[in-house]
Amino acid sequence: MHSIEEIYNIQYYDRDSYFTSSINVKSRAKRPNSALLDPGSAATNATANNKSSTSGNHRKRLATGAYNLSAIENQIHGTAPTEETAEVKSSMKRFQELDRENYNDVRFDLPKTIHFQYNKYPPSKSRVKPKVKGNAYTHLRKVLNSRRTLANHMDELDDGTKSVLLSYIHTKPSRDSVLVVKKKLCSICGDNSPSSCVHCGLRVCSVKCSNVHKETRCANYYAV
Amino acid sequence: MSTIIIDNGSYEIKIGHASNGVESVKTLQNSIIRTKDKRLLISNQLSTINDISGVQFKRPIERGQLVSWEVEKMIWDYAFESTDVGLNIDTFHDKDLILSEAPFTIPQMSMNSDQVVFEEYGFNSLYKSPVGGFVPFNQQNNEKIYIPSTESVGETAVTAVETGSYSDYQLVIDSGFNATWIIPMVKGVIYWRGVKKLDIGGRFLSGVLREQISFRHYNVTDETVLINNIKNESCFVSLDYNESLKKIKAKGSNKQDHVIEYVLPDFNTTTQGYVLTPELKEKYKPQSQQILKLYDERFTAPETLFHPEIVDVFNKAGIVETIIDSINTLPEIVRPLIVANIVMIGGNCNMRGFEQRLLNELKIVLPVEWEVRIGKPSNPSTYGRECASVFSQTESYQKVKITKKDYEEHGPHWVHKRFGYSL
Repeated sequence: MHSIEEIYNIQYYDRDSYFTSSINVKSRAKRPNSALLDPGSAATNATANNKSSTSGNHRKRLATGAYNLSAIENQIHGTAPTEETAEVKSSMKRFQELDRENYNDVRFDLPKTIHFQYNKYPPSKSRVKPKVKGNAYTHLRKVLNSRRTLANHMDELDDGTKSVLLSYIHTKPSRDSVLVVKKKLCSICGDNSPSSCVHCGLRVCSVKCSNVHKETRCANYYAV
Repeated sequence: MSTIIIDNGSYEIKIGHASNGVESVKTLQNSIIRTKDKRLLISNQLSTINDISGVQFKRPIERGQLVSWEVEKMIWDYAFESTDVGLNIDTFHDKDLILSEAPFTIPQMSMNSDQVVFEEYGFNSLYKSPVGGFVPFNQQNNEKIYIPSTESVGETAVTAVETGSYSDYQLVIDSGFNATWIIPMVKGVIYWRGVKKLDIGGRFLSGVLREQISFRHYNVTDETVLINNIKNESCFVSLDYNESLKKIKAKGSNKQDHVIEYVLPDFNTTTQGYVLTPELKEKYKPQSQQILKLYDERFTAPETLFHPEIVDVFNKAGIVETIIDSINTLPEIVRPLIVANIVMIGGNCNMRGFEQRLLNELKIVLPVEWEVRIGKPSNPSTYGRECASVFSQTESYQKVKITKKDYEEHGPHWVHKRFGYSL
């Protein structure tokens, strides 16, 4: 991912360091204010980093669209991923983890020709095979032999259909739900739990469960 | 001219002649199976294998969308021709087809199905609809299954239902393997604006159960079939979650009805596993079988339908909120009427206590003066097909079906306009 430096003062403007590819958004996120407070040092930083990655003095400018503009904008204006979107992201990940048939999602491919062995009724003579010709025939073959996945099909959809399929038909939970009281359950034993883990935020109910949680599931325990 | 009905679910196909009774419906797995030793099997051949561990599935329907006609055609051919299924359908030009399809199918895929039905098989005519769309036409049966029943309500009791009529307002909850659909229907037509999807279905519940058992007892991450069996045999929806939790903790006899022992397959006496009931316990001395004791897993997994946040999925609303959202899209005057005619179908509804719990929850959130009635048939998974066979007897069916001639004259886009959704 590429990033852009914002020009605050024209005297710091350096043609070579305006576009930089070395500072990715992730590493910047750790020190979000350094660039804003001291654009000069950030710019020199960028050039220093760049020199290590690109050998020459003349670096190529990035083509329009080669960087994620919205991510950069978010960063500059302080609208970087809020807690809510992070929550949505982790929820989606968690949902996908649970919503599959095999835990390790191994998919097998079918061989090109495949015949299953089973007892058939004798074919009747009155069967009429429909005659399909021309374009329709090629399209029919295409449909019957297609091995495209759902993701391929989703990419081709127009925006209207996509927004219907992905957002309109789903109900979003109201932020402060008046309808249904949210349940808070311990992630270890399933009992009602008043508290959550200080390191990662998963709910635990007692010291006993907390200890089990720290040993097994806590993602941030050793990081802190 | 006879009519064939195919309820093409993402887990099971329910297929049969419309004229035959309920008993004649055949169910077959909608999948190709690869066993641990890498043999490929089709559909119902799953029941012939002994070693159910490590079985993998390839399903033609992904997330409710019929993606792979390559696989689907093999399964349909098996359904039509095989002696295992026993239908023996070999001529198609003299047959009408009623086919179910998930709501909001991607237009391209919907058109693909039309093409295969007419050009590969050559059916005489086709009618396509989400399976919930047939339910209002089975009004006679629906009236019998509602709780609270019409008799007990007294004053509002409906007069005897004419045959061939349909209920004007109907809310169908179709909770299947892939997802749970809320489908409001007005005058026998789907009200597309109100159709809502809750992404939680049987597959998700199995996933939750799999994770909990793997974390607490044995590692079952690879045992798709076994988990499915355990879920079918032991899961239920708790009427009062906190009360059930207390019962699990309590000592003594109260605990009995919430804790269950499941005998895992030992490939000697059993290949699928079974629930160890007290009668069985007395009959046989405990042997060296592995026993899985299930506690709150039994009702925690189904509880995710109501409260997805208990498994850390915060971006989805529960089933109650989804239903309310769907009801709120309807004109205000219709809302109380539609709430009085709710029918639940789909394999998930096999779980004990689901309808009673939903009734309780809806009564809390809906206005007091609205009468809420929920019906759950005794055969939720095949009930949709049953309704479709009632629908096939009506005059409306003759009006809406599309013949091969129409298809050839107007083309797939026109057919899609007739059957597709319109917001």
